Amino acid sequence: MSEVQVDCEECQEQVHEYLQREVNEELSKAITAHLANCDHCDDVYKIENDLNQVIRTSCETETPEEVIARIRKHIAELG
Amino acid sequence: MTALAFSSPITLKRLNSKAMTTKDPALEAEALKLLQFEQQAIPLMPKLMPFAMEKSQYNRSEAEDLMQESFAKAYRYWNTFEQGTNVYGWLKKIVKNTAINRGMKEAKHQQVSALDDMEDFKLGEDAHSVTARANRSAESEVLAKLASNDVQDAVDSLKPEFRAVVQMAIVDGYSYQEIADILGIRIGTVMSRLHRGKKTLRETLYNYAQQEGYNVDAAAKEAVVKEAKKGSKK
Repeated sequence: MSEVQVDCEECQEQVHEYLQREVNEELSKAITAHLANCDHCDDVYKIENDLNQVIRTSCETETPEEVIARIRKHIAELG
Repeated sequence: MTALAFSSPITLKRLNSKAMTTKDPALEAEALKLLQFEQQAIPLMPKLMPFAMEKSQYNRSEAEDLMQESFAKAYRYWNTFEQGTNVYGWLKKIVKNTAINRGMKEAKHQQVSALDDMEDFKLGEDAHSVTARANRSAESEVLAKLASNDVQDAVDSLKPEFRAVVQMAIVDGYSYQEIADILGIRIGTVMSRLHRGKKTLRETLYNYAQQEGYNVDAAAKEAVVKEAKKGSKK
């Protein structure tokens, strides 16, 4: 399936980078393959993923609309 | 609410009418931030527009979207900009990274769907490790029980340098390179702050869950403590 292989230690070391999509495609495939075959690593991954989702839904904030409107106005004025 | 750069979604109307007459520190800080941004960042727009055009294959509307996204980002993290250093260089990096991310979104989509295909292999696997599954679901349950306020408080209680990275990486989805450029730190530092920040969050959230009297399963406790120990040994 994939030429690169990862063991449990490597997999868990890279779990944050995998979640943030900061690993290259080859390594990403190797980690995905490892997770499919290793319950323990899959649990570590899922807990981190759940935590990310909880953080995301609790801390989502937007740049105030008024600020965006001002930025947009300035850009439009660039002509 | 918990945004790094501003403490609450204050509207400009409120800012304009009240900031100068009240002693509300949050309002005053927000007003100062906006003032600085208008004085230092906005005037550089004409100078950055040609760069945005270049990064957008000279498509005007694409360049305008790129500028808008970049300046919104710059405003959001204005407080992390080190006053007195090169504003133009800082903004240019943000435009550059935003352009890269916008271009990469499509490529990433393709990569993600390839991963999703591989995930399907998992469906056929044996659920042989029942205990491990129980640990995970117990910890996930603890997470699910916590109120949104608890999570916000936990994020707010992180040291500012950790909070910034957690917010940018997880909530805003910025790339490590973008975070490194905005904060003026190395990518390795971004990674270690993200790892440590998340580890601290897990411990804090678990403590909250206990304090609030949730029936925290022994298996979940074991899972969290084990992970925390493993992390601290490194």
